[in-house]
Amino acid sequence: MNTTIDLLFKILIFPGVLFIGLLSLIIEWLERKCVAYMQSRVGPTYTGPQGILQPLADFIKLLSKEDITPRGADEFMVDLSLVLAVSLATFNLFFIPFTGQAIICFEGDLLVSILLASITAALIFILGWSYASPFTRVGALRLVMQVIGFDIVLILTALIPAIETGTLSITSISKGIWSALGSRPISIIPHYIAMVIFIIGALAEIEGDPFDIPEAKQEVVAGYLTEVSGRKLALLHLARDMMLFRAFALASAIFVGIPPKLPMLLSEAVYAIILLIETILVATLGFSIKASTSRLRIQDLLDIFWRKVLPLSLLLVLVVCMVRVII
Amino acid sequence: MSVIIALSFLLVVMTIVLIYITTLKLSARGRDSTEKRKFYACGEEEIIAPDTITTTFFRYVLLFSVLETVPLLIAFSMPTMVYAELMLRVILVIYIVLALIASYILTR
Repeated sequence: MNTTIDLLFKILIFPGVLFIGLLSLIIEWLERKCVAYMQSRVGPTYTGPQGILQPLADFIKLLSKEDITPRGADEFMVDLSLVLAVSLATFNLFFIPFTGQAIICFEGDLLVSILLASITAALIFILGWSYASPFTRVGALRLVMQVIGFDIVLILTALIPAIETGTLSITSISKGIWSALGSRPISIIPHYIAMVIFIIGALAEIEGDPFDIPEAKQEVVAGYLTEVSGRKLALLHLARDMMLFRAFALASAIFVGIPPKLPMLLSEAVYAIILLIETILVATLGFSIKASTSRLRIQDLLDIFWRKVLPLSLLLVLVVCMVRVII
Repeated sequence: MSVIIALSFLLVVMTIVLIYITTLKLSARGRDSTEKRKFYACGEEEIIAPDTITTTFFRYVLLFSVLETVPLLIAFSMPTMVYAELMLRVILVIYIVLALIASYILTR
């Protein structure tokens, strides 16, 4: 009985749905503050201390607004794809070891997590397509083009810490990456180059600048979000925040990791705080890139990822493999 | 672990569905009108995107999802044979969900 309650607590409260939801909103606040700071603005200020509750207020406001589905849209597919996309975005955070041990942890969960992110994007494509509006469909098509561009690069760069530690489990990688890099210091250079590429790929995944091509306002109004309103928009914004949080938390878990001698001494809460601080630092790096760049064209994105970043990622994988074999 | 995966996903979906249904009851409701239900057109004539290329493009999305990710997952799960069975089950479930959505769209 206690085990069941413990499991339910983990899934629904900490580090489950509630914890993930609230932190995702805080990460959105951090994003807005960072971008505002870099653009000489103040960002949200009114709701809560330093405006920290603004994303929550926006979420509640959108939930209470009227939900209008345009005539001609396939309502069943819209509802189905939206619920599944938000659920998968939430579920995907269960693979991150916030307390030292992820809720779902097995050998290969790294690849499953990346696969789930791709499926979430495919579901958002179906959502945009089901609205049958030219703007949502063009936005959805752009989203797919973007996924085709960055996804393989994301997989390859995520494999680098996996090769270094010899495991495909996110929890094991985060615990073993320090000792793996310590025993093969030459891997540090390709490791951190891969981390920067991963963060750029993560920005493409969450459609942050310079990869906001699917919802480029000057070109396609709001892309696949053009016809979305009320509770649907609230849930999609929440899903986007969760994807953002998951991307940076995954980057910090597999590339930065946890120092090897600490876990024995740490409680779950302290472990979570360390990973969160790392996530905030990695996210700040991502937001700095976002705030200092302007939107690419879709051809440029595909060109950059397929012709420049992909060969570089492959080269990094080869270098890390060779170092692993030699040393 | 399979039970935890299934239970976690089920609980997450139930939570989202609960929020989705509850907020439908609680959110504001205006009077229905033809204008309100038109697509955004920025003052232009309303255009409804043609359906003719739906299935064609969906095949590409489906093929991309399957071709890009599933073989990679299977390939990388093979060296860890202890967990290969679990991985294949997860992949199978995702595969079936994708196939069901695809067949729904393709057969309409």
